[in-house]
Amino acid sequence: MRALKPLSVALVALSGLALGLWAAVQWSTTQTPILHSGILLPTPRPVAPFALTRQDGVAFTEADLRGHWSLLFAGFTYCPDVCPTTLTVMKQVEQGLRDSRRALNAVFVSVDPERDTPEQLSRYVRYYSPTLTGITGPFEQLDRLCASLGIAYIKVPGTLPQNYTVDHSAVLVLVNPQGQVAAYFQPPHRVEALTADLTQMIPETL
Amino acid sequence: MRIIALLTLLSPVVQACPGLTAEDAWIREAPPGTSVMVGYAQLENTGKNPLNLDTVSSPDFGSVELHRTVIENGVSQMRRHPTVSLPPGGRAVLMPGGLHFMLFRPLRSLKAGDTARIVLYCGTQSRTFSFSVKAITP
Repeated sequence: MRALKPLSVALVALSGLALGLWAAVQWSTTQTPILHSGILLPTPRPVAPFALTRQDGVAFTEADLRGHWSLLFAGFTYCPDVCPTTLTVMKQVEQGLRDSRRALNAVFVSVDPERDTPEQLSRYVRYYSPTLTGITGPFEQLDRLCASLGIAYIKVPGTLPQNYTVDHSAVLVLVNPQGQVAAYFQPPHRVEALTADLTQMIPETL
Repeated sequence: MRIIALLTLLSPVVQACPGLTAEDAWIREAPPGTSVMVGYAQLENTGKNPLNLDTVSSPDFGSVELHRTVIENGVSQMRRHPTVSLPPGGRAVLMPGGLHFMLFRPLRSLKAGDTARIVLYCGTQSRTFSFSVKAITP
């Protein structure tokens, strides 16, 4: 067998290296973001039609989730521990993203429409952030949205009838501008980790 | 009569729930119209005897309960927590996302900067602590 000339060997090695570099660049640019505080859905899932109402009485449907990125959290206004903590985190994340010219629509879904009247919801969301949207409505419509988002909730009796609580998923759900569930973020929610993850996913538009 | 009065003055003050302290006692300011608030504190038993805190009340709220938030399988649950047992030197940290006082029906408007009283019972004795209302981010 004839030995390869050193020049040919070098050429083959160089072209191999070049091909490897090209492949690495291609791979990294098409690579999906790696989330540190959540799970990215391999195939985003559409949010099915639903009809709820905003805190100001305006209708809110699946169409309102299109055209921008939304981060949704389910809770209730009589939840004094987990909900204020999560809403404060959401507000800070939204502000951080806005600072890097990224838009995020933060949405609080009340799964307690019996106590959370539009007035109550309005006072509540305004307290946490002027840009936070609060939505609620009949259970049948809430169930449609929650099924799409993969959110569970159940009413649990308290010591008095009016003191009942609602167990609810503590995840944050990211919906993309096509109105599809794109990612889930697990508690405990941290401002820095969430902001870093969302910065990878949301392009600069502001 | 004078002697009795003098003896009373000289006798050591008998403190209820001896050794019970509450540091960083605060109540999270709530949005207007909310009928439930939450209180946190670091409780410590600096005394020589075990303390079991099983009842909480407040002259500033309709009722108070001790609750614990648990996140199980991604679902946030709030449940009544029966007793905080503090052995001598023991501590219990009430903090967001864990143990907390559920403060139902505030009897007056409470804003950041105000204080409210919370009464902790250890058996038949009780001690009142002052909690500061704060608008605090986590």
